[in-house]
Amino acid sequence: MILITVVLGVLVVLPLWTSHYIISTCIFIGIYGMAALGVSVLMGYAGQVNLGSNAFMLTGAYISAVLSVDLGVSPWLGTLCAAFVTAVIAYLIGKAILWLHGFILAVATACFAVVMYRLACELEITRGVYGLMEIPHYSIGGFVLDKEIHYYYLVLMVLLFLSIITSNLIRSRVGCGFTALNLFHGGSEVASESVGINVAKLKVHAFVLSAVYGSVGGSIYAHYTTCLTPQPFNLWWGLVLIMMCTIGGMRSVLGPIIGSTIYIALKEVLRITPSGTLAGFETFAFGLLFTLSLIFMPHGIIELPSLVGQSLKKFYKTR
Amino acid sequence: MAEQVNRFYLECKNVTKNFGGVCAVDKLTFNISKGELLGIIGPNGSGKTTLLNLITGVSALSRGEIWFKGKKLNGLLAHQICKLGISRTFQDLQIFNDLSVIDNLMVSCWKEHVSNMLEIMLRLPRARKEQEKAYVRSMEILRVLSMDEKASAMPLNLPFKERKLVGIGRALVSNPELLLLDEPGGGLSVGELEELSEVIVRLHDQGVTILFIEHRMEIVRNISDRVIVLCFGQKLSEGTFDEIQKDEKVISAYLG
Repeated sequence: MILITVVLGVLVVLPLWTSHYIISTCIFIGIYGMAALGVSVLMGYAGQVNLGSNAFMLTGAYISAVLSVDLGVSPWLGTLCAAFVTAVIAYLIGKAILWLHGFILAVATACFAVVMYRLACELEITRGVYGLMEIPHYSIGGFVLDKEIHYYYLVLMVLLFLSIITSNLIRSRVGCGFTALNLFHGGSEVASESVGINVAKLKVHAFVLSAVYGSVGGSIYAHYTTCLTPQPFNLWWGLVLIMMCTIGGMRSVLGPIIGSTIYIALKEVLRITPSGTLAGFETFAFGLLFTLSLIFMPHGIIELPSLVGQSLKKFYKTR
Repeated sequence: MAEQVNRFYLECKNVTKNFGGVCAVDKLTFNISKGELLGIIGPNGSGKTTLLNLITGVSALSRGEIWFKGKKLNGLLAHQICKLGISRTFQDLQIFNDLSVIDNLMVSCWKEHVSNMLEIMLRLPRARKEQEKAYVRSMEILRVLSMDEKASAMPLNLPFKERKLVGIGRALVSNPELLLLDEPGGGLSVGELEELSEVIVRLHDQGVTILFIEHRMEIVRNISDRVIVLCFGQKLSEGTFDEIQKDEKVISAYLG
C-alpha cells in the first residue's frame, strides 16, 4: 500500500520536471494499459482466450472519432457512445462465440479482429487507410485539453479509476466466479454451473467489460493523437496486448500496466538508439522477453518480489 | 399427475440417457420423499453418476421426466436447477483450486445475490452487504464441518478428506433442499469415513433431503433409509439395506 502511494505520488508530480517526450510516452503506456487491463480481466481471470482485443480499441477509437469529426458530437459523449456501442458489439459477438473453447475460440476472436480491421480499412466513413484527420481534443467548458500534460492527467485518472473498479471486481463474487470457470486456473465450468453460476452469462460479462476498457483506451488515443488510421490496431496489437499482460502478470491489476510500461519503454529505447540502428527490433526484443517471461516467470514480473523473497530465504537457510 | 408430483420431493419417471449406442440409464423410475436419505449403489458403469448429472442438468435427458417439488426439470440448465434448491458434490471433487476454501464457499452463494456488476465494481452498499452475508454464511457452514480454521487455506494444500468437506460445504452453502453426494466416501480411510458419515447424518437431521451414490457398503448400511441398486442403467432392486442385501439378483450382480 505504501509502495502504491509513493508510486502514485511520483506519477502525479512527474510532469512537473520531465520532458514532453516522456509525458507523451507515459500517455501511450496508460492508453495501452487500459486495453491490457481489459485483456487481463477476460483472459487472466475469466480464462477466455481472445486474440482480438485490438478490435475493441479500434471500434472505440473510430466511433468516437467519426462522431466528433462528422457529426460534431462532444468527444466526451463520443467516448461514452463508443463504449456503449462496443459493449453491444461485444455482447453479440460474445453470445455467438463464447461457447467455444481454447484454440477454436482464439481463432474466432482473431477472425473478428481481422473483420473489424478490414472494415476500418475499406469503409468510406472511416476514410479507409488514409484515416481520419483533425479529430477534436477533449474540452471542459471552453478549456481545450490540447497539451500533453492535460492528457497525462486524464489518462492517469481514467487508468486509476479502471484499476480501482477492476480490483473491486476481482475481490468480489464475480471475480471468484471468473476464477471458478477459468479452466487454466483450477476452475470447472460444470462445477460453476452446479453452484448456481450462469457460466454463459458471466463469460459474456467478462467479454463486454474487456471490450469497454479497450474502447475507452481507443477513444482517448483518437482524441489525443487527433489523427487515426487502422494501422495501430491490426492483429499484431491484439497479440501485443496479450504479451503485455503475460510479461507484467496476467492475473493482477498492476501486471498489465507494468507490461504496457515495459513494451512502450522498450520500443522507445530501441527507437532512440544512435542512428536508429535498433529501431524496428521491438518485435524481436519483445518476443524474446515474452518467451523468457513464460519460461522463468510464468505469472509475470508481478511475482518477482515473492520469487526474490523465496530465493533469499533459501539462501539464508543453506548458510 | 399434480397429486402424484406433490407427494414426492424428487420424482424420476422413465429416465433414459443414451450416449450414442450405449444406454447409460435405462427407463429408470424412482422417487425421494422429503427428509429421506437415499443411497444408490451399483457396479462401475451402472449409470449412477450419469443419473446425478441428469438430475442436476449437467447432462440432458434422452427420454423421461424429472420433477422436483412439482416443477419439471427437463430442459433446465444446471444453474437454474441449483436455484430451485438442488446442490451436488462431484466424485472427482471439482473444487476451484485457485480459490481459497472460504472463496470456494462464498462463490457458491451465487443464487442468493441480486446486485449487478456496476454495484459490485463501485462497491455500493447492496453489493457490500451481500458479500458480508455470503462470508457469514460460508463461515457458518465451515464451522458445521469443523473446517473454520482452514478458511483461508488453498484446497490443494489440504488432505483429501478436508477437500471432500470443502466440496460438501460448497454444496451446502446455497441452502439446498436436496443434496446429491457423488461417492462421498471414495478414497477415505475407515476413520475418515466414519467422521464423514457423522457429518452426513447431522445434515440429514437438520432436515436436508440427501441422495448419495456410494461403493463403500459400511456407509450405505449405516446411514441410508432406503437403497436403490442399479445395474447397466436399470433398477435392479429397491428397499432397506437389509432387504437388498438378501436379494438374489443384487447378490449375483453386485454384492457377490
